[in-house]
Amino acid sequence: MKKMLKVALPKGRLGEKAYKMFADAGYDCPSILENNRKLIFENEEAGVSFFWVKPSDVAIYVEHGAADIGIVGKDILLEYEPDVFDLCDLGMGKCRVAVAGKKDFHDNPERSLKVATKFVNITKNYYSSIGRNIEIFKLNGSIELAPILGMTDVIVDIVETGTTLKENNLEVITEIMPISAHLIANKASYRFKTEDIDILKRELSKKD
Amino acid sequence: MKIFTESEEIIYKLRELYEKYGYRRFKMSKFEEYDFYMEYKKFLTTQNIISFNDLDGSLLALKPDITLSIAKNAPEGENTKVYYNENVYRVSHNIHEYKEIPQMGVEYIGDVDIFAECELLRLAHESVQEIAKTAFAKGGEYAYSLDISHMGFISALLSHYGVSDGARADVLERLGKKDGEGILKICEGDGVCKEGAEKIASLAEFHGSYRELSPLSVNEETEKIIKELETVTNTLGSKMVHIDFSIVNDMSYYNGIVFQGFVEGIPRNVLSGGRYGNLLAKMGKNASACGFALYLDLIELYGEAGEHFDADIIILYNDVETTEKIKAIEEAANFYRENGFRVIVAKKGALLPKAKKIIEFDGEKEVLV
Repeated sequence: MKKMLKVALPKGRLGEKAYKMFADAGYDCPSILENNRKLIFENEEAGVSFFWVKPSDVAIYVEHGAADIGIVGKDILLEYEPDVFDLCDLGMGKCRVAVAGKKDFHDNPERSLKVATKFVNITKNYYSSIGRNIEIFKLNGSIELAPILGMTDVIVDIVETGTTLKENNLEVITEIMPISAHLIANKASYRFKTEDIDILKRELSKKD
Repeated sequence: MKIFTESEEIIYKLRELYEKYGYRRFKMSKFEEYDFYMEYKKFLTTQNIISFNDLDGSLLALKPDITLSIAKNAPEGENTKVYYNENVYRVSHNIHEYKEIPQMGVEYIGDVDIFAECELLRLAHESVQEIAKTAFAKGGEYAYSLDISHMGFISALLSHYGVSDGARADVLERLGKKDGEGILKICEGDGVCKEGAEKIASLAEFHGSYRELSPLSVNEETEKIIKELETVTNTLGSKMVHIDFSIVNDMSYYNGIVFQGFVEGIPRNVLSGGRYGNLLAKMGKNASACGFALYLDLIELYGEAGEHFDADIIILYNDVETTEKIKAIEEAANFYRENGFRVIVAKKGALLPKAKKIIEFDGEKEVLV
């Protein structure tokens, strides 16, 4: 019996795009496109099953082996540092993690900088690498509000097009790093499904 | 009747195995001087240690690791062959709280030659197989893998292509993630030639047999290591052994082969080991050392839940006014106990545990409910 390859996909545009790459590589599962509330989609013939999870949860499913492989943004890998194989950069879902603030922001090095973010780990690492003292305000959404209301000086967040920032009179101050979607694998699953995962990796990393 | 849990059964079988190979059980105290761990901090997989003051004010720690204590206590000039089955105290990966973690391990300290190395790998292989067979078999089938890496091979390659000290840690980190692209980028930034960068990157992607290693060889040293890997693989003679360089341990402690064991059904390595001669050198001891540890908590965490019953049979009684009645109930219960069943006797109307069968006892006859 062929072993099923379990794939965790992030809900949303990125996951849908990633699914297309899997389908093109021969791991399709037509039932996934039906509009229903099912959580798991299987194609026994192709030996693959997919499930949709919250993007920030993909790495958790893979790390604990509920999924063998998954598609996840580099931001999540850097933030949660899951113990998984980071097999390749898929070159899609490109954006960047950046520091943004009000247009008239001026950094006063005499006091600690107030930063709002949902990426606590990335923010800490970045500011400690440049030796800047900070206070972190952990938020879960609408990060842009923090500097507008004067709660923090800046934000550290994902910037895709910059439209949201512009509409709120904010701008990118520094880019911390570029981000894109990565193919990750569970370290134990890799040992038992090496061939399948290697083939998939080769197919998915064929960048056009 | 099954008394032992699967992990108890495994511990029992493995102790027998290690004893047969001449390893003696090493019992030790749960405490160690805190300073000792600070000195060898990087050897530990955890940086968090539970510490407390002894009555004289000195700082003690609950052991987060056993190997260090064994290495410290190993007498010089003789071969120490020991195994242990102890609890260690570490931060749990999942809940980020301190946990008591059962751990078993084998250590060989002294003159560890290629024969001793093969013997340890054999024990590691048998241990992983035992775990797979006893606790993770499905329909009689199970899968496991013993993956071997070599710190000397990695180090030789990095030195040959002049990877700077600053970039080494990053390369090792990416190697552990099988991130070949990441390694290419680091090497490029470090001024490593294209050929070198590609070889180091393909080290990350390598998973297979020593036979495929020769394109990665760069000098006499790497040739020698491939020979060593050939010897251990052929000695083990198991299809479940792979060479995989994503297993990286700290180079300041580990110098030769390092290895990890995996069992299908457990999402992370259940065994970890290697040659840690550099640690002995740091302790000022003139000896080599090799050993491995098994993370027994994973067996319970990821194994089958086991039986869904608290007992096989519950015998219910109404009232027990006379000695005869008590004796009669006892007799009925013992009849089943002697036949290998777990029996609970309970008063009718009480909240009952889960059992496969409930029997009502009314003096003479037993009614099956």
